[in-house]
Amino acid sequence: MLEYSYWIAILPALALPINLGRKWKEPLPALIGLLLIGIAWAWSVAIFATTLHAAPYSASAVWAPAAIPLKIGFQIDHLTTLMLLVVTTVSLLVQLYSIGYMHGDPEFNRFYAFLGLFTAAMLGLVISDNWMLLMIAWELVGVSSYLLIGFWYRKPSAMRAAKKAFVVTRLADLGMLVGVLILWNTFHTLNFAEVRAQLDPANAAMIAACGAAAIGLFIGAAGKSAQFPLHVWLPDAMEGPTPVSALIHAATMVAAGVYLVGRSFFLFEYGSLHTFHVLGIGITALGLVRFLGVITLFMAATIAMAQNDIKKVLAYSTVSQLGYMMMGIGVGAWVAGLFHLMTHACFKALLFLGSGSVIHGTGTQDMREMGGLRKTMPKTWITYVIGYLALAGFPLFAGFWSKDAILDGAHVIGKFGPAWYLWVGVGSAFLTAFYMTRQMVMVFGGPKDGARNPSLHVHESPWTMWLPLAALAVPSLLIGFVGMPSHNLFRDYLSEPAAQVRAGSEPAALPAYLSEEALQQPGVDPAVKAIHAEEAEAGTLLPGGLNPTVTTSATAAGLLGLLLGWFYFEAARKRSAVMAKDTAQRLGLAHAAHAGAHGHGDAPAVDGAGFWNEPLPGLISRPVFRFLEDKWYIDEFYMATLVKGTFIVSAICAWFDRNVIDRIVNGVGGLGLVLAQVGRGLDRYVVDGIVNGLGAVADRSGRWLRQLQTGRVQNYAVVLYLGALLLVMAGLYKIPHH
Amino acid sequence: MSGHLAPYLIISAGLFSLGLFGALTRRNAVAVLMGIELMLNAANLNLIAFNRFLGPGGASTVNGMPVDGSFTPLLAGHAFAVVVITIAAAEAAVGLAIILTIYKNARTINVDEINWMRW
Repeated sequence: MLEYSYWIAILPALALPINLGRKWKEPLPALIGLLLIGIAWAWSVAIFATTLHAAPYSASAVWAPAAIPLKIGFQIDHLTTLMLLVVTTVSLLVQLYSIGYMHGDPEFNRFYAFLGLFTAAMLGLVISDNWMLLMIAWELVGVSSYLLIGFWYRKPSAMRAAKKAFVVTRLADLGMLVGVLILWNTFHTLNFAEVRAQLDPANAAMIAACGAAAIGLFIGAAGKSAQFPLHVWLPDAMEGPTPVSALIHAATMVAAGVYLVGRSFFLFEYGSLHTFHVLGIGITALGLVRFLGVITLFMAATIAMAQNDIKKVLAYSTVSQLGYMMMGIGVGAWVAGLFHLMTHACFKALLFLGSGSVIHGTGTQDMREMGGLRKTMPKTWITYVIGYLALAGFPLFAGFWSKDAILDGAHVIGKFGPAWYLWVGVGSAFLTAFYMTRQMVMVFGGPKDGARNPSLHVHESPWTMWLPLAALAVPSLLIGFVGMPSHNLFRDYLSEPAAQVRAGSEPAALPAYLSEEALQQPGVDPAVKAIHAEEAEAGTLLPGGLNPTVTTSATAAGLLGLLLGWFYFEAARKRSAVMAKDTAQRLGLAHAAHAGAHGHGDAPAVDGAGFWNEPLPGLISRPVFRFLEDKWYIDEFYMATLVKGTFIVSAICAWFDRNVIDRIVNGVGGLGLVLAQVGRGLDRYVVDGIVNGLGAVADRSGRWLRQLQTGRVQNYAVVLYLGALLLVMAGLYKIPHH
Repeated sequence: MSGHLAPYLIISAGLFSLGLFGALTRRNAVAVLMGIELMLNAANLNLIAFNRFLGPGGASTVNGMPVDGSFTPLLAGHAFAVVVITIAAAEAAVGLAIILTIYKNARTINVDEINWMRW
């Protein structure tokens, strides 16, 4: 079974030709997609069951035969199996959900075709056993993301968002390409295991090359996983259909970067033995990962506080959570990063699908127009609450365990290097709880008729939509327990084939690519030391093996965020409701309903909703709020520098092209014309002249000579006679005289 | 019979010239043939005369051998002359046959008018 498991990555792609082949009637494309992904899902589960205690399986074939053959192949190890499960599960649920969400869309079949393509590419990405195939799948993922963001291509904003996503991630992929090329140049193979086997802790040049390669790979990962400063595409990608946001831009594709770094973690760890000095700043591969991760984490969390679009809040929340994962990997807790990837995939897909249900039920994305949906959409509400608590890190929910594991890693690195990662992480946990509470209050809070835009006709979504919500709510609630520090099944599962993780109780032996001497060298990243440090705090742990410092502070921050947010925004909601009622009474309800305007950035439909435009009086001043609402002006910064700079450069290039290159080309062309004219003259007057001249000579002499043939025999006889006479005379002349 | 070669050659040359003149100037094709016969016979006279004076036992030989030491069989000139006469007879027959045919086709034997073998 394992040797055919690459079919998992091919099967879903069959939906592309089948669904694009004809404009099938509505439920059929979904059934095709569901059938294919269902097979892939069942297969993944079977693989999980059979390889639970098995050694990794891998198979490869020569793709490009050469002196150094280029091989591609696939592998089934525990990390791959985990990713297969996450991707196929979320994809299956999203495809089921989309039956309801995309109902009535004229291009229903195209949607399922692209979903199939995406799923196949993502599965190919995780099943690959080398960076080569991974990169190919990586780009395919990017293409299908582009196609799906721009699914409603008639909408200019969707088109722009698709282009932006593609260009930004493609730009980042350049870094990945450089990294892969460095690896190829160094090891002459791109297979994970083969590269790993070649790593030598005593080879300084190899360490530096791997550090550079790891940084290159991370640039690619930062693009896909929306890390600062390449995160700008992800919030815009919310222009795509909401199931796409859930599948691609929350659960799977954006996690691909985290997966890549996790999969290549041995390379990052090994490369972090070397510190690069750029402009006096020391940079290591893991240092860059955690630094950009923590910036992303904090920045996105603050921006999420000031968004009014339900999906934008979740988008920035996703960016922020990806920052958590990257920071987790960067501090050395790569298992924690992948653990958070898994839990986040569950609860963020749940939240996105829930928001899609809300959008489907209300017809708007602007949270200022919503309210009171708790009563009108109860199933959505209950599942959303579970996702919300999981994301906010409420104790015992999925996000609590994974976030705690990451913060624990940040705590450990504090003993060897900077300690502030933990506190930024804890602060961001507070912000996460705070902005999610704001969203909950805005969307679901208030009485039944509390929708601030009375023109909305709210209804609960069909079963195809709430069933996936329910299915995702279960793992969002429970899956965290597999990563409980005292009985960490998740870590054991990932590390069983090869002990390569920071052990909880007993110190792990150093992997072959590290040595005690190498760890003692200057310039070794603190994360590498932290990974292999012995656990010192045993005995003082909380129940479940939780670290008291980390867990207490993080839980306190999360609960504080929940409570503060609840009191603050519930009060705000009541005030705004009062204001809305006052306004409605003053102006007449008809007027308020009449003014109902949809969409982000418009004047709020109802007067009282205007309150939400500055929802944090007393906490955050108006300029700061504007700063957050406008996303730290990063887009504007790119617009003013990169985009404008590109335009200026291209204008210069266009001028150069028109005035220099074109002139050279035209000059060369003109020269050719002149030469051709000369050649034409030569041909006409010299070559043709000779040929025609010879012909003319033959012609003229023939005309002249033929006159000799008179037809009179006696003329000939005269000539004959004279000729004979001449010969005789010549003969006489030649006879020597005696 | 004169004891010198020259008078034979002179007569032969005259005969040849008469024949040539006739062959080149006569309009009548039969007369042209007659001219040719004259030239052939001038050649015959030459052959016989050369054999008589320069051949084996000839008047101008030394010890019966030609002065240049070449060997000429006995009666070689006569043999040539006989061959020429034979050829001349055949030639006359063919020539007259051609003339007859031309006459049948063109109703003339005036060689000036028989000029259609031209460009």
